[in-house]
Amino acid sequence: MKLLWTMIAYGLRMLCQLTLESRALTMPRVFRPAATFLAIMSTILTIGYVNSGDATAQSAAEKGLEIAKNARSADRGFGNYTAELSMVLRNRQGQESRRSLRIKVLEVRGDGNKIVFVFDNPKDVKGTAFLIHGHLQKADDQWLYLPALKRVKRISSSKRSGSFMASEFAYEDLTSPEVEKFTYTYLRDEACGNLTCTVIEMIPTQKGSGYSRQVAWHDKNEFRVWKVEYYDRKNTHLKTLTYRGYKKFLDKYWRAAELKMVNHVTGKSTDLNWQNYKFRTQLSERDFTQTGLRRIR
Amino acid sequence: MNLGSPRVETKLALSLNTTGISLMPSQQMPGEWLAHCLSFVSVIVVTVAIMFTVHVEATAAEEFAVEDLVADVSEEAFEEDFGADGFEEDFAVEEDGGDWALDFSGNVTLASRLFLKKPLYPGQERHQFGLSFEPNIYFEHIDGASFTLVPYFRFSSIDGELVDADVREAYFLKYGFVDELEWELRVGLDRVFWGTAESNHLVNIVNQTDLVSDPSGDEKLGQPMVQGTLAGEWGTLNLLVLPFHRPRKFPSVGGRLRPGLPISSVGNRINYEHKSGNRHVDFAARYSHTVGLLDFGISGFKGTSREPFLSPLVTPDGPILVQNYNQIAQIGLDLQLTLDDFIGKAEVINRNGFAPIAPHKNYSAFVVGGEYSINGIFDSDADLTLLGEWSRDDRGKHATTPLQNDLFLAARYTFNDTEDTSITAAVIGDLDSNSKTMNLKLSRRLSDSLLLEAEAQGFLQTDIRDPQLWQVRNDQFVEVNLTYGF
Repeated sequence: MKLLWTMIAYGLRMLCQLTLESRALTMPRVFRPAATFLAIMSTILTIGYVNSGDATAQSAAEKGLEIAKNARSADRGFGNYTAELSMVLRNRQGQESRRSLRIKVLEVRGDGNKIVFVFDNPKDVKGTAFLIHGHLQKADDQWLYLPALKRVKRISSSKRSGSFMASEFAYEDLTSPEVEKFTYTYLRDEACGNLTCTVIEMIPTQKGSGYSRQVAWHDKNEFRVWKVEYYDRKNTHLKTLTYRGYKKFLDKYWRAAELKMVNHVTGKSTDLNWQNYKFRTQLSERDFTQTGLRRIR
Repeated sequence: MNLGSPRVETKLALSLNTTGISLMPSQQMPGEWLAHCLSFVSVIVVTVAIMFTVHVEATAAEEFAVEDLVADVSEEAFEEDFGADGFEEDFAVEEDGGDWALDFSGNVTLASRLFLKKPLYPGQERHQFGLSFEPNIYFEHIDGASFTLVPYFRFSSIDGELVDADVREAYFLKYGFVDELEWELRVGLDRVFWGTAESNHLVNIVNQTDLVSDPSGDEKLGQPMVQGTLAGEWGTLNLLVLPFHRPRKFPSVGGRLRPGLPISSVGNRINYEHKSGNRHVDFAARYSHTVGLLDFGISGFKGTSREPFLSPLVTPDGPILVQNYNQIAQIGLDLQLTLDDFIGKAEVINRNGFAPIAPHKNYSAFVVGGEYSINGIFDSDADLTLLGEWSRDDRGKHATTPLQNDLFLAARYTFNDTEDTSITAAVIGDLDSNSKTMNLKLSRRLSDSLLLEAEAQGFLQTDIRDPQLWQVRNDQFVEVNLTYGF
């Protein structure tokens, strides 16, 4: 339909311009205003077409944003949760090393989530704690507690692109995916297992990210994320994250039990296993203070 | 970011004015009596805790190569073998313990330090070997109150300091909230760290330094205290009452990195200005807050100096240095500006009453600098951090610190590998003379429980105009530490 309109408009415009410019041809004066009118109309139509082209682009952005918002709002209202994490790091040769830690997450209305990681293994980092106060617009605030020195250090936000405990996960992969931190483009629908997924492209809005873009697969039913592809600053496909073992908590909140991050450049991979999810515990803002970081065990 | 080596703080402090030897370490100050009493109690508590957490789990091949060594260490210490995996077991006790939960962890460190040059002073050794054990016992009540006990035991090859028992921490902790106001109370022995700089800890004044376990001065003794903390939107306020003073711990007769004259650690040769001696009640406070990218702390201290002023004394056995602890008032300011790749740091102090003679009567010192991080350098996972700090003490050549006008430059390369390998190279140049020292540190994890640290300290140039360094010009060393954590 759009194409038809365009063809008509373009044809008319060409015709009118030809009419107006061919001064050599004798033309009855009556036709000239008509030709001018037609020229203006066709120009408007052409502009209309160009705008409608923009509208498709906008709707891809809008659709991408909508998917991201849906995914985020499907997860709203969980309050807080705690979980135990174990990581298995594999190098190219398949050698494994393990990490264990605990996580506490607090949902904050109108701002980014607050997160604490406490490391249990390896033993030389036991008791080390990492506190994140997430934000929507500005960079997150981050603190590290080093128990051997009894010292709380504020960490620069540029560290978020760094590796989390030498795993294939970066710090920024583990903070909550706030909608405001990306711009979105809807790419396509695609089958993922037995489900249908929407594929969106996400471009980080804040500087300091290690990625130029991410591509994420969300299923259409529950807006769960199943796969994320990470592209580095040179737009090389760096890593792929896949989610498995989704379980529903509190009848609403889906959490995956297994996350697997594969680095295509180095051949290394990390399995991140989540156990012992506990939702709506006693946690509050009070458990995420800088002073409290010194008390964390 | 390298979480694996919190101890790789590039620090090159040769607190030489304070290094020395103790003539008769067996004699203790009355204040030490408390610490020793507590360490005796903690031996009992440790034993109980071990029996309480009998978790011998077959952790197969993890400690392969070093298993024998570690087993020896553990058996020697208390005939018990700890599993490599602590967390589940530690918290499993929660279920049995009723209202109290127990967490037991800690480490055993084997340290070997070899001095490359002949000693300058008679009695000094070429090689020092140490074995230290620092368990950490934590009881938590169901209502959030807790008790932490961290005893410290050290066996050393140097005579006179064969066994060193201390309590690093033994405090009761309670906290709560009154509306938005967070409060915290700690009563007992604890360690408190204040400050931001890496090469010079000027503001950090609460705890006494243990130069026996660590000549860099980073190791601190437990300080008896009542510490109250209030935190809110307006910032954080720390108030401390410190009822006992503990004298600085100096290396013994055979110790290296000390000045020519031995420093007496004998109780009746330690002079206190105040008539209450080591029982003078000191006060300290710090207010800290964050404004945007800036974190700042303003601190004050009034009481017995942690740093002794050393004065020579001629005894029938020869000349020695005696420790004088005067009443001081110190105010300090510490700043950190956290930008994207750059972190700016500064510490400033003014100290009054350190010694009754000028320029020690009233002096100021500062350290200013920063660190710049290049994350993912050369398209790798590795990070390179460049550090630079300038220290200045307005006493100039009379300063009791070697960092009276010195530039510290360092580069830390963290590989971000599974073993958390990091290498730090640092140089300190004295701007008033030609002295230059360098320090190289390496840290790497060998297994889940075993950490290897190596350090080499060299003097590129020693200048007689830099007396602090000149007195130890032969004390370059190479050190290897193996730490087993459980």
